[in-house]
Amino acid sequence: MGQSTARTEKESSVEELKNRREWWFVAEKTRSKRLDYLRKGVWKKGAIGGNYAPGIKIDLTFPQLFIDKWQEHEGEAIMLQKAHALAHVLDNIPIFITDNSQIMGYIGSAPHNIVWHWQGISMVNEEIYNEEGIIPEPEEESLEILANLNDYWGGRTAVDKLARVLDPEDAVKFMSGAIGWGTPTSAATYSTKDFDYIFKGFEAILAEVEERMEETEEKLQGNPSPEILPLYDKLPRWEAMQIVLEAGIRYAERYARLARTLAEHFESDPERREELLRIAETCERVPAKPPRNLQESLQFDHFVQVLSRYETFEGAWPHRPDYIHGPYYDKDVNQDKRLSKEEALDLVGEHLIRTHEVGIFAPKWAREGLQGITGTWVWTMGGVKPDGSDACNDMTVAYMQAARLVRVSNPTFGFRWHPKVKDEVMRECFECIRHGLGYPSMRNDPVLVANTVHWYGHPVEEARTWVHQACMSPCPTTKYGCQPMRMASATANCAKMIEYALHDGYDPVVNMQMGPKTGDPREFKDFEDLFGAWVKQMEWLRNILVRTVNLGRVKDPEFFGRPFLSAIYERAVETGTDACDPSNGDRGNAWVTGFTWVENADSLAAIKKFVYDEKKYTMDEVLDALNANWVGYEEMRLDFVKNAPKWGNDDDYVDDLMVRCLREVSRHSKENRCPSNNTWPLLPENVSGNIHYANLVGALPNGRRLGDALYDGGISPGPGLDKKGPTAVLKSCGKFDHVTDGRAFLLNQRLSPTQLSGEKGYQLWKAYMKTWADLGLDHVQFNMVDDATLRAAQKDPEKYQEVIVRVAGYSAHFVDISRKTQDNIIQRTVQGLG
Amino acid sequence: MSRRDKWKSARDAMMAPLGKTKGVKTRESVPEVCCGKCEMWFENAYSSEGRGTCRVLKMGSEIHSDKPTYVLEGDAGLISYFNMDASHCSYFSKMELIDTDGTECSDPLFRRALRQMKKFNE
Repeated sequence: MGQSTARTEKESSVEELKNRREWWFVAEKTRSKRLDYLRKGVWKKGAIGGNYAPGIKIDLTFPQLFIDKWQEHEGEAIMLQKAHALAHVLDNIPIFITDNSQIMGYIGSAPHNIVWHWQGISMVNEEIYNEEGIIPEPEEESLEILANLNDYWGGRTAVDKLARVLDPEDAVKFMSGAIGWGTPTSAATYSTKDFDYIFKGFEAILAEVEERMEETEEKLQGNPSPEILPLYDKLPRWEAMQIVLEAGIRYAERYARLARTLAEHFESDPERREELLRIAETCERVPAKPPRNLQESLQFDHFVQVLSRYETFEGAWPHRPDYIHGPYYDKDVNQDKRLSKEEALDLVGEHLIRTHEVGIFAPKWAREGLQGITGTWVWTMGGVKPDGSDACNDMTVAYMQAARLVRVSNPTFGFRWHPKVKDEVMRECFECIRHGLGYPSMRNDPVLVANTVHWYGHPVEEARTWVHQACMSPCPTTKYGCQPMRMASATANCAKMIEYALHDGYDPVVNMQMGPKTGDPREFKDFEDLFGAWVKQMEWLRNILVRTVNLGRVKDPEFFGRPFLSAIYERAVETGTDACDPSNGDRGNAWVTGFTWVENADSLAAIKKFVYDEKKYTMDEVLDALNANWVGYEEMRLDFVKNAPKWGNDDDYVDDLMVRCLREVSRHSKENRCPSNNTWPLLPENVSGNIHYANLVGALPNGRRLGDALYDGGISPGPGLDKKGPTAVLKSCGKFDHVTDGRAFLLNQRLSPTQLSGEKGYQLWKAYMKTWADLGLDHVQFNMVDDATLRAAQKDPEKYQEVIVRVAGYSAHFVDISRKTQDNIIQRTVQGLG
Repeated sequence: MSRRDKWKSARDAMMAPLGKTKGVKTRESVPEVCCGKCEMWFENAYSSEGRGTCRVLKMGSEIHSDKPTYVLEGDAGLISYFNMDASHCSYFSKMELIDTDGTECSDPLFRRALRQMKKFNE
């Protein structure tokens, strides 16, 4: 495509580029000079494949500042100790203002730095020490600093402490890396935030904290009784909240001073001088006081996100920015005419860029599972208000338009579709998809609100406030609905369920008896015996993950401590607890992410058909072939690939098995309980875990060999195996209940950009979306970039830096993902609509 | 040995190096014959700090003394580190380092992307 054109992108007009659907070049030519400058100035913080980009360095200023005060306050309550350390960081970390920028706040001491949270996991600390390329110069000196830090934190981190409390068998199997991923500490997880509460301003929260401390101190002077004993622990927690809130205000004021200094003494451009003074005024106002306009609301929001990430990784970014900032946009642009639409678009575009540039070190498994990005920052757009009316506003449109201009891969959007969404907003969604962003993913709001009520009992008005907690799972943003610590460790490598059922619970890849001994499959009488073994392995796998995560959650306030998050959580402020303490009213909103899920249905169907129904092969032959990784059994393997039923073709033979598997998991999800005594439903999706796990899952009866990429996830059919068209895919996916059979279900679809051009293309897509909604599916996302472009990008990556693809629950720049992942995306079936 | 005790030894082996002061010298030291260069050694996928499992030996094996002990049966594989001395291990089998870089995510079977292993690639 791009390479074959006669005129280069620089010579071509915008119209020519549009006609050639070279949207990345269109964006470069149509965005403002400010956005172009800021976009091109961003350091790439997501890993390229599994490695960080050249020039990216680990930040050593942050941990050294932190440990100075941490050690000084050794022996104090963990929240208080951490609050002192964080305040010292916020008061002293170097700050800077990028040319042309209007939104302040940065995580780390320099633009090319990535930070990490050394109090979480010693293994990650050691990994950083061992990592190639990210050690700052002079390397010898940096290694000495890192070794000293690691020596101090070794054995003291949250996961080190947890590993000593966990059942040792659980600890070893969990950390084998074979059955799931993640870390059961809030050092590495993420939180929902209630901006209705936070936007009161830090000063108002501080007043509330002060009032509660005074009340409590009075009680402590009263009659001795068991009731007053817990109050002694609350006071240091409130004190910790005070310390970080005050430090947060001072951090903003540092930016105000810097902006004012630049304006008054250094800036020669009068227009930029005005901007710097406005920045100073903004940072003097927020987060201390409530925002009054769009710049202040965006700035307040960003400060909160930055401060949160000084406290912990926050690997996802649960957010609903159109809903939060919409009223300020309306006031500035529509009512007061303080801002033009273009000026507002600059602010919104910068908001996306500021988010995109956030970089936090991720261990190798996370980088490989989330290639090209730092975390799953899926922002929620659209949806309804608590009363059920349409929540879309001008900011919804502004974010979609800005996304097409800045083309960042992170954050991405998930759009809450409902029947009242206006056509103009749907067109904006479609334009983003048509421009090849891979987002927004489309979410079925009525289904997901019902799902949230069904699984956790959230009141419907609360459920309607939901945001994507990570890639996919809805979580309310209310006082009791907010989740302080979604545990990424409850992420299951589901293909192991069928693998273990076929190997008596043994894992030949990690050389360990992992699951229960469910018997030699050669002795199974019929398919029901095999299915029974699968159920036992599924229950075992989920149990170990949920047990680990539950314990991690309950122990987090003791092992990690969250002063800042607690200070912005209404229920924590009210009760003087750590935000992660599940006893403070948290309703619970846990789920098990199911990677590599569909392999189970396809594998079970293949064995049912060939071994038990048709008796074409014996179980002995199948196991021999699997143990040989299909080597020497190629003809048989192709039979299993081509002639066994495959999910996604509206074939009841395999679809019924998929439904049966899901219903078994649903039953078990209600037996598993979180610390708030709520359920643990399954959420099949993958990010790029299908590549990460490729060498960890052995040969399977769907014809896959050890080392082959797994399916791209959720309930998406295997790449190239959905041969009956898009409606058949939707029909398969519509055979189970998206409310009661699981938490949410990711569906990847590739569409043809040629077919979907122009108005006709929009109408075709809209008709497809109607079928999707009528069938009650909860999710679908699209790749709409043709093979020619992707292949051209493989050959000439420099030229295609802004080509984006949907990987799974997130998007990435195509050039930032590994060759294996690139090929896996190209291999996906391109569906023709209509 | 109870179930708990059996797994406790595996857990202790897995967590053992953490919390012990090691400094730069120990961390940089990689013997010429080490687990990380053995094709029987499987780097753990949960973290990439250099922990792994032997695909032949089981927990209870001891390969550091002049007279190693080899346990070939059991539930858990021997946990070792990339820079552990394997010169006494008769199961050591030098592997060709295929993916020393990590960019292609050919993990973890053939990956040895640790900075300290670079000297063996030059």
